[in-house]
Amino acid sequence: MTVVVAALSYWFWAFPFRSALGYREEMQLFQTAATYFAALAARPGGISTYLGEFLTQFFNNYCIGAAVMTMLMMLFAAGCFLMLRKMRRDAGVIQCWTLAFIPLTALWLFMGNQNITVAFIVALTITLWTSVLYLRCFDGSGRRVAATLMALLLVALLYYVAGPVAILLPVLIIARGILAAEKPVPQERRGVSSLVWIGCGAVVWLAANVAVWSLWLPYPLSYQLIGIGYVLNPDKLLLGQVLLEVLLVAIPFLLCLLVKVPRKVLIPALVVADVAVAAFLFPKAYDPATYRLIDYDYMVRANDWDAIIEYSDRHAPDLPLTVSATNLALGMTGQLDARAFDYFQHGAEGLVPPFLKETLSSWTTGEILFQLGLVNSAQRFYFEGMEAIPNYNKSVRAVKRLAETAMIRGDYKLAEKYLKLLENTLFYKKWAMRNLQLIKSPEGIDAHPLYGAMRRGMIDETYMFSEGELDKTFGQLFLKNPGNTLARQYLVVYPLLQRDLNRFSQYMGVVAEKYPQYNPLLAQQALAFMSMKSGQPMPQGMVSPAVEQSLRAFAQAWTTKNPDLIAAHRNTLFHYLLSEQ
Amino acid sequence: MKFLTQHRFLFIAVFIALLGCSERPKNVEKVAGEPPIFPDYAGVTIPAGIAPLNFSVDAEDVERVDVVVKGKHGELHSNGRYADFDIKDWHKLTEENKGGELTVSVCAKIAGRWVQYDDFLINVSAHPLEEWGLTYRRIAPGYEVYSKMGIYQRDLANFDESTIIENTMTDGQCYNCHTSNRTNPKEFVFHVRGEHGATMMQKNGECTWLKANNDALGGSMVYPYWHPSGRYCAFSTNQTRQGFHIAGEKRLEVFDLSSDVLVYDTEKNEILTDSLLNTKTWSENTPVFSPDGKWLYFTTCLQKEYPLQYKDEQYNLCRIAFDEKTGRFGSEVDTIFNAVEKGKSVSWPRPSYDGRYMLFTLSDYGYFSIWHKESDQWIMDLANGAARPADEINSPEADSFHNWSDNSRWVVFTSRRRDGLYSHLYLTSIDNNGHFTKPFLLPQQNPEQYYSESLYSFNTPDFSKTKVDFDTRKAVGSILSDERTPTNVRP
Repeated sequence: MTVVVAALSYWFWAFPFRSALGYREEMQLFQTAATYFAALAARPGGISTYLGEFLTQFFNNYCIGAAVMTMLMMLFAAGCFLMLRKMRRDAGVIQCWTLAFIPLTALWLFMGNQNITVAFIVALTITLWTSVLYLRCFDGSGRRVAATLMALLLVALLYYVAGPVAILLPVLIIARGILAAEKPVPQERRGVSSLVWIGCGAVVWLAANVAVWSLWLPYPLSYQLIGIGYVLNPDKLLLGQVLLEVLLVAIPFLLCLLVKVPRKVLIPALVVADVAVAAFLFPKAYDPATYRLIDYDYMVRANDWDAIIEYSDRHAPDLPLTVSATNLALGMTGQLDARAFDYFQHGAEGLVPPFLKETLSSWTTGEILFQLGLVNSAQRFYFEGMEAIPNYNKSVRAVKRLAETAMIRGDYKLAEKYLKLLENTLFYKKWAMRNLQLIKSPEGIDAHPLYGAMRRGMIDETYMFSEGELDKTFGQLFLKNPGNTLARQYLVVYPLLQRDLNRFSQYMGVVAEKYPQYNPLLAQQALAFMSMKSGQPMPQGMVSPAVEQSLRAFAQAWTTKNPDLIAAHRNTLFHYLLSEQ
Repeated sequence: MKFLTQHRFLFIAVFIALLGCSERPKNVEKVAGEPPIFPDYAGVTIPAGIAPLNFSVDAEDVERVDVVVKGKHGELHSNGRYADFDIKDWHKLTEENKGGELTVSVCAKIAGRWVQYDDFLINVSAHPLEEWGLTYRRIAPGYEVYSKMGIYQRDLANFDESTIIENTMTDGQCYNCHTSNRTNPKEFVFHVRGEHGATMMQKNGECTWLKANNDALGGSMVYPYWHPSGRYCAFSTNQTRQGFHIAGEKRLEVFDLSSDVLVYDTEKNEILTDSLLNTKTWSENTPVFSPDGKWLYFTTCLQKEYPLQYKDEQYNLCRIAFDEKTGRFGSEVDTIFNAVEKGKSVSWPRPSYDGRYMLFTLSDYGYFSIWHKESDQWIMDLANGAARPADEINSPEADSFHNWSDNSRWVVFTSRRRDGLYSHLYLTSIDNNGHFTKPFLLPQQNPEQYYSESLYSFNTPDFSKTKVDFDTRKAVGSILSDERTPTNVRP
């Protein structure tokens, strides 16, 4: 069963939810430098955060990342199992393993919140294993003084290493004391009842530790109690965190209740109950809408344009981030000026969404601007996205793009700064070292297939970025570099999304000066629509018979006002131009 | 003795290891030229008692450096990955050589062989700094969003930094515009922006949290400067906007749709305004009092249509009389420096506390000079009004905000000369003829590591006579409580 669960876990993180790994990886800039460790080690739970971030960097590669995640989850489950064995020695191995999967399931569901960090699993696992070791050494030993001193020492140490989940240690000590007192095994009778008092003392001692740390920590007490590194935004206590911790204390009691139930009944019943609860809570835990955004973000980051289009074919994009990512993918594959209206569109903001003080949205917009060749603006959106990370982390993804934009702009000293930071990472080191060599010879950047081309395609004239006038900027980009097919498509589609056919005609004129033969599907549809609307004959050779026919079919459906007939034309430019006006 | 005999191999191993840690130069090869060190401390002038000027040799494959610093009295030595001097020894050496020179000899082991560069000098000023340290804000040089930031203080005699207030304590507030009265933090002010906005005024340990916005003003109180009496504090109130360059070298512009200058009377809790400081067509900004308190300097520009005409936002330096007894302003505004005439713009005027000079920043337009590569430090002799660019401290990158030490011998200013984006603090001294000495970067324990790894800018630095005595915990409670003292505008 353990192997099956581990395999399931690996499959889960490596395939359907690999984007959740990517999300966690891009929300940090883990540095191998000693100063990075020192900064984190200065706060309770900082060591767990350091270990968590160290492990999270492996999420850069989803195969390794899924293995790391599985290893962590199984270590957690093993901790639960050993803890249950310590709590009730007469319980069977299979019973304990089956019960251990309950908190594992809870943890897996809790990790559905994309903002829960790996540091939380690390902290929980360290705490569980420490509790097991403590109970192994002092449960029933009768060495009360040693047991008390060790509990106090471990609680203080555990709070420093793991943060507030350290509360589990004294509470589990108390639980063991209660359980042992209820049904003591004869040879363990000595010293067991004192565990309750030791646990209570340790709780008070932990509170004292929290109070003392609060005098130095530059965080509100609430953050300290929630766990500074457990969540990206530790501004409120999550119910899942509380339930998970309560569950860890409750399962030993559950084990005691169920220990006499025959295994043949208990094991299947527990498995079925576990699976049923997981299946019921899964859509709430792994919110499909949220994960669609994360999936898009993952694919945009990987520049996997075909995957985005395929994904959009399966899940109709409807949010600004998903629509703009789809449009970008269409543009990058040269299909935007033909297929834009195959998908939901809601105005020109679907090309470049307005700025939001939020990370994923900023980075998606930043990527659109980068691919367009608006290096300054891409730099801004990546920087803003990084600054919007709620736990004040920096981002390896953003710093990489910032290094690139600095290189393209010719800010070599600045690029060097960012590249040296990336040199202190595991997965970006080689890339950084390669580019550190590159910036030593600016002519090398000029010759670089991406950076050189982008530098040559940058707009010469500066003016202020205006979200409402981006069409002019697309025009500037196109005029500077007529080979910028993305800018060309954005220029043509922009007025169509604004339902401004006059402006569309103007922009087509601009494009036609450079590409007289340019006549994409959407241009033909717009031309046909304009001709029909003005009662003019179709311009000869400009509109294909298929477009003409589809317009006639649409016009017939539209005049009937029959929603069922119109629905067949919903994903067309014609429908878009007439609807919502 | 028995212990030593038993563990002799251990002691030998430790001894060998220690020897290895301080490998001395041998077979040294002389190379011409000064060492390529970071920070560039060659030829700088420092105050005695400042933190050690630790540095590293900025060359590839440097394995070790060996540095000897010699003065007329005494010397000290450092051997390691970078020059890391003992603080006490450094203080002793600089104190003993006050008014003299220190000769720095640098050897570096590069790719297995030792080289020795030409010696360079560090001048120890005869003029003391007489300040405990610095206060500054540290924030990422971003656009609209800010992450971790705060106001910090730094002991200049060593590398100790402590937090005055940090936004991690209060759910990500923005803190800005802090300043003390003539470097004395007994009178201290800063502004809190955002949801729990306020203007904090601390006088002799008593904190007053003023309501951030006054409806009569139409904005909040920013860019403060204390009157020498400590009774008044000048502010401006600004309708600030940002614009972002689509191309070119510059990243962003900060401009004001409008701004006015006001003075806050801490005794009467009144805001003092004047029609000459509150005009409709001009934007008055960045006020400062003269050291004798009789004048209020400020910058002013003719309002334009923004963001279209952002390049036309150019400020002159003006002044108006101020009577501290009545809190009344004079009836005339004098133009002290006509920057518009030169096609330029003045920002951040700061008179030296001895009344001799006015230091300001000059850029092509606007007043957020840190975002302008062309911005430079300018100094004006207030006795004759002659102004000149302080070329001896300027760089090709932005050189912006500045403040004087209480004895008017030292200046701290921000500069982006290291990488063009992250602003760092530089210190310089001024001689009797009004010339600055070569500025030096604020020392750090390991400067190369510190400045390379930091993703923050230092801004609005000020000297501090003593450590700022500020109850941060209590302040956090006050900020989150939203209990604010409303201000009244004097009728």
